[in-house]
Amino acid sequence: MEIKLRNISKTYGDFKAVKDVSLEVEDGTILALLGPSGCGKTTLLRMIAGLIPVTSGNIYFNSKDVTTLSPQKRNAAMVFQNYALFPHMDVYNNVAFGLKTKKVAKNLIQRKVNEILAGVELSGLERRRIQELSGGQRQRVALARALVTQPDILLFDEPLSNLDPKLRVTMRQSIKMLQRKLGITTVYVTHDQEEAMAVADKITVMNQGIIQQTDTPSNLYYKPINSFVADFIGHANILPISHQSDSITVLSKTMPLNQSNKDKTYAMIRPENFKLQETGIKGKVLIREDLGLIIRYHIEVLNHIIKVDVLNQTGMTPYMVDNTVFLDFDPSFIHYLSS
Amino acid sequence: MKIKAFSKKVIDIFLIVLLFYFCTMPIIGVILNGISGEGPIATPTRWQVNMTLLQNSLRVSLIVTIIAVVFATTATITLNRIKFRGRNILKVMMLLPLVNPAFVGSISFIMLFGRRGLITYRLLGLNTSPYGIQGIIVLQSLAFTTLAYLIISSGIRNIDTTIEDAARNLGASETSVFFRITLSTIWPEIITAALLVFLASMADFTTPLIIGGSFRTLASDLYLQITGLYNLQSASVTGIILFIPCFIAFILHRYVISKKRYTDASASSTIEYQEIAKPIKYVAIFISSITVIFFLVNVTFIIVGAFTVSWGFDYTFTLTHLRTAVDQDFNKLLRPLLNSFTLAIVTAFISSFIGVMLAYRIERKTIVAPKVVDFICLFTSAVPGVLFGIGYLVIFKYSFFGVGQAIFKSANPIILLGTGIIIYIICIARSVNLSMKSCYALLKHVDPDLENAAYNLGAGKLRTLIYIILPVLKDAFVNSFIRVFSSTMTTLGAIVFLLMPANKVIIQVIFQAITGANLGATAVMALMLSSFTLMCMLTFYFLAYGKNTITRIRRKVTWK
Repeated sequence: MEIKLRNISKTYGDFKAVKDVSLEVEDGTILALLGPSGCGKTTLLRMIAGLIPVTSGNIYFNSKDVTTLSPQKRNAAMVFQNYALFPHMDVYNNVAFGLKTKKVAKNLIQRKVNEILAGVELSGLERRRIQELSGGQRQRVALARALVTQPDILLFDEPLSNLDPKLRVTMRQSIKMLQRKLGITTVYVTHDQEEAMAVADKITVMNQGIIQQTDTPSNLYYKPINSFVADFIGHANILPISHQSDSITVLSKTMPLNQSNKDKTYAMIRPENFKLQETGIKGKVLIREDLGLIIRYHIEVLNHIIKVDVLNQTGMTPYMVDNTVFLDFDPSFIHYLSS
Repeated sequence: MKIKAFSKKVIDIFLIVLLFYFCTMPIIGVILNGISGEGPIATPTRWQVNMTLLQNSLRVSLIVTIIAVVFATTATITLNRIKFRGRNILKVMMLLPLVNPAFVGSISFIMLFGRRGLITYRLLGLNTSPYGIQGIIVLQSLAFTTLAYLIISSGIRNIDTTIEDAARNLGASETSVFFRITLSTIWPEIITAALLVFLASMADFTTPLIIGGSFRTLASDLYLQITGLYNLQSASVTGIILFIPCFIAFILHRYVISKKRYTDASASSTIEYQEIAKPIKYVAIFISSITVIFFLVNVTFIIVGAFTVSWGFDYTFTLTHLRTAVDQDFNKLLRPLLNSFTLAIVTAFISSFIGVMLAYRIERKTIVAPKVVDFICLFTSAVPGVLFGIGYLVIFKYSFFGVGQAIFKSANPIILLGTGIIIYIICIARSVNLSMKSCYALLKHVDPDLENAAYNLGAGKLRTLIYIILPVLKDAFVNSFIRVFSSTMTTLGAIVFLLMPANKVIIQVIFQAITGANLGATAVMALMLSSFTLMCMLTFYFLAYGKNTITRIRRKVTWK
């Protein structure tokens, strides 16, 4: 099922939580809503679920206008951030709840619940109380509870934010695999850019209630539309450009003026696109972070602090703090930004 | 070091023995006294009477419990989940009965429905008697709805509201969300409220005495047995019968119901129902408003009665009652008021100190046998006040906790009876459980690592106590102080048999006056007590929080 949002706004008193958002989620894909806390992504998700009424705009599921449809009738199952499991019911009854409201036959409920619990590896815990489950188990109950109703749409509200990092990585893989298998159109809210890139087919970056950019993970990384997106997706060095009549200068390196950098004010260079070598632009190492696969240097160059990632190869001698280094970059790796 | 730890333990044990002696022993004394007397425990006729009384008590209490809980639950849902104009005013009004003694409602009840009542006699021309079971039920329901409301509404504020959204998301209809989610998750609080109302209703002897007429309950009969016949043994038997259902309720609550809690203080959030059928909405608002209107009528007619010449006969405005009250002999009104005040202040201070300290040490498990201490203290909340009072009579009248009369006839009793001290002791013993409960509630919000953080930063034990623990416990102390103060000012209960003419308290004076002829004068006194209590409470708030008082109070009222 395809989701279409047309000019959605939400205001609370004077505060505009979501401003004129239009968005499409193609059938069977995952869209991640990514942004810092308070950017309006959860509000948007809850409006899709029908849990918050929209102030203006329209929501369509396929071609059907569901803007004023009650949450009960949308068949858009949600996985909540704190799981929202019913504390007065055991695991089985939590999962069976949605089926019971649909008045499914009792033996069918039993079969379906058992099946889905096996699917999320919770067989044998049917009679456990919610309070007796670990965070990871609760997460899987919440997932099972949403999936068992065979929803048209799946909505995730920061589903992994309460789990430890290792578990988060495994869970996001299983969510992605499940979604692929079932082909359910999914909206996935997160503030973790790595999680968004790992899970989503497309990512919508939001800030202060406004959509900044919607694109594939790789396009967001290489061609961010503005410095907010550039900075939010991965790490970025954003440097001012000084314009001359027929050339521009970035970090004392001069390049010819052309179609791509005309009228632009900033140059974005990813940390891995710098090279440290014997000659080039002179700088001083301020901080060295050994991150395993890479070593990240924070280097002071011409009053800027530049992040440089170097692949950590066996046998190489890393620079020390206070060492003088020379760096260089390939102008074709520059992405120009106007703001 | 070892000696220090040992002496600490000794002090703890001494404290436990004291608590046991003053809190638990009285009721054990009553039981021993009831079953150890000479001759049969009760004559067949007396037994018959007792069974009738038990039936009466249970009937009143069960009906009152149902009414109070239904009204309180409706009000809770309405005032927390439905948006309408005037909601905040209703929220404040719901708390009105807190400063009124429970039985003061009978003043306006008699004014409206009495033999010369405004409604029954003036408007309807009836000549009915207000006295009987229906009056008790109405007045107790009025008095205890607020009690139930406080408990249930604190539950609903602590529900994680996303579970309601989750149910909607899974297709549950609004009705189903209400019954299967909202109501189910606050069910433990509703049951708790029901039990407390039940206990309070069982224990109330004042309302049945004033308005019950010939209809007696166990508690009111106990009062009559002591004041009329002073037959401690027969009273003890009736007391045991009163104690049994209360004890069962207490144990059920402590070990069965309170184990189930679905609310979580950290997840508190509020939502309003977006979609609610208009008729349901208006019925809900109507019921809540009715509750509040009853409260208002109650207060209004006390005020009106206080300034009317002679209710039922002459309705002209007058200041006579006020003047008589003020001009009265010092010993008749102001001395009792002063006595009440001193008693309430001292009780509030000592029991808050003991209660907060005990609750803190029980919660952190730094006391000897925390569970035992907790049981001893909270157990008193299950014992009806009159019964507790009889317990004191028994253990301080006869030697060896009341059984002395049967074993050693010549042994001397402990001479506390008839002194002022015993009144203070009994009030403190009865209030410690209140203090502990309010402290427990607040400690749930305190990070247990707070002390460790202070130690970790190099603070010594004393420093940690003064700069960390005491400020954290200040809220608990103030809260408990005010609760105990107002309850000591406005409840007669346990002290009724122990008071001497020299240390009369105001609540007792009002209680004696209310059965008399002059309603106006009684109304003036009741009004004085309520406003005086309210003023004192505000003053304490102000002393504790200074210019933050208003925000503090508002937060307490709306509890956000």
